[in-house]
Amino acid sequence: MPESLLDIRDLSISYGPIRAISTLTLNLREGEVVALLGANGAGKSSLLRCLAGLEKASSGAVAFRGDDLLRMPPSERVKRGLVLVPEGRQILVTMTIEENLLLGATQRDDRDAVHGEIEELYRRFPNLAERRELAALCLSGGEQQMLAIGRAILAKPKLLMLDEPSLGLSPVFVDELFDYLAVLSESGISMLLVEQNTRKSLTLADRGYVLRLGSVVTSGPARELLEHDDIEAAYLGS
Amino acid sequence: MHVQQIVNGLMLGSVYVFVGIAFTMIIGIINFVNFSIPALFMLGAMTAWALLNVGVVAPLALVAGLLVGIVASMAVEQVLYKRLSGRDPVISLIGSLAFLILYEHLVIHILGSDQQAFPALLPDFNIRFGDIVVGLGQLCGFAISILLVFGLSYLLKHTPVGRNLRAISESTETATILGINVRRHVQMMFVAVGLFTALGGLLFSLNYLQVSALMGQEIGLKAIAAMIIGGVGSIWGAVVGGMLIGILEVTTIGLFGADTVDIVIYALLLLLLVVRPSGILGGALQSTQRI
Ligand SMILES: Nc1ncnc2c1ncn2[C@@H]1O[C@H](COP(=O)(O)OP(=O)(O)O)[C@@H](O)[C@H]1O
Ligand SMILES: [Mg+2]
Repeated sequence: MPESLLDIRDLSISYGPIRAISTLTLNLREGEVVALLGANGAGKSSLLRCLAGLEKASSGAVAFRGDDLLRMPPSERVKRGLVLVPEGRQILVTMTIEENLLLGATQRDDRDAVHGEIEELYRRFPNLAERRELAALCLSGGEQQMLAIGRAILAKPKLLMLDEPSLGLSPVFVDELFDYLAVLSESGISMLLVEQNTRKSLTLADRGYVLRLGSVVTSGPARELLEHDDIEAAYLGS
Repeated sequence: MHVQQIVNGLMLGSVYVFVGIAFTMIIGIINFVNFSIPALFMLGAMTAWALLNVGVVAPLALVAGLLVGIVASMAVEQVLYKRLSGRDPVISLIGSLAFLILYEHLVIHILGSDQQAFPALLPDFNIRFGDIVVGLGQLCGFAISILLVFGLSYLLKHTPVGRNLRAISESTETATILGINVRRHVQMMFVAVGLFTALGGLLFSLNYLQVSALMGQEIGLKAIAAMIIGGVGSIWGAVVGGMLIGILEVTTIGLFGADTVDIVIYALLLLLLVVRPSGILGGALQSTQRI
């Protein structure tokens, strides 16, 4: 049995009177890909943002690699290997593509290795390589998403959290995206994947959780969820 | 208009550059108008003056002036940071104004409000270029301000710290996600602001030989004007604006007398806000060259 990487217990997150997540319990083992499904407003982004340190938890506990995550400052979480690819990608558009990538490695001090990994990324995404010295504003949505993931990979994540990475991408890019995620998973990176694309994400994932109004309504092995008829209905919120 | 006046204006303008850069850095990176800056200018100068007055040797008094400026700036960050990072720009702005008044009145309470003569520490040594005369102290101030600007510009563009600061400037949240310790960078910036501003105050005192508890206000307002004229958030804008105001000030005194200086500068500022609201360099530089 692989070791537990992320252990969330009875976590609640509130925005004033609005409760985005209530007493949620979720765990993720080393090497796993876990899909997080649910309609808009179910609390998926709130959960990822809280894990990244952008929102405060109102109660509960989170252990990451055995340590108390909620007490760590955001920069420490990145350093320990918990990295978020945020909703809407959040590329720094006034900075160059290369600078965006270098910023992903902020918490590392093995500069030579970082440069090697950047070259490796450029080989995989020649579109980025060609424009490495240009402001990231020049990239298309799909290219920006690849840059956002590449940037996160440069932090050397143990656990990559992705918030709707396929949103707004053309079908070609969606395929490329999921191919890339599969490669990353093969390389040993664990993932917590929030997705609209239920079928593709459950195909990639080992397990899944379905959220509704901040609580888990069902969870289980991805293959079972995939065969479950109610998932689409619950997912669409109907 | 004489070349000599332009030179004098550039020398005066370099004082505005120090203070203008302090304003523009904090606005450019965390979008905060730090009104405590004029007090830091004054604290550097008044600390040095007070220590010199009781017989402390000059190098020590000057360094103490810089240190007090830095500590006073760090205190502003310490107290206002939670507000700075929140959604309350008005409260942080008023908080920094409270610091300005607090610091000024602490100094008035301890050292009095009178204008004081600052001892002439630099040899009265003038350098001549043909007909033009430049004081040694003025030349030093000018040179240091230019070095500072090139140094900062290089740091922001070509070093990891500069890259982090530009990332914070574009989006604090994204910077946080990337693992940048935003608070530490903001603290560093306030140290730099305290240092530059106090240094400006010391160079001003060394050259113009007068200090007072309220000396920061006029300079602070002109530095804000310089920053707006040059383009908010741009270091080179603060340089262009600062030098321009220095030249304008000196030539206006020469032409119409000292009473008209503020009329000319602030009328020009308003005119510029109408015809070119983003300032001379604002928008002219690529956004990657901002801060
Ligand atoms: N910054 C915020 N302030 C107030 N309410 C918020 C904020 N962010 C999210 N919410 C609320 O929290 C709930 C969960 O939102 P979110 O986590 O974005 O869901 P999802 O990502 O699943 O669509 C929603 O009701 C949403 O309106
Ligand atoms: Mg969301």
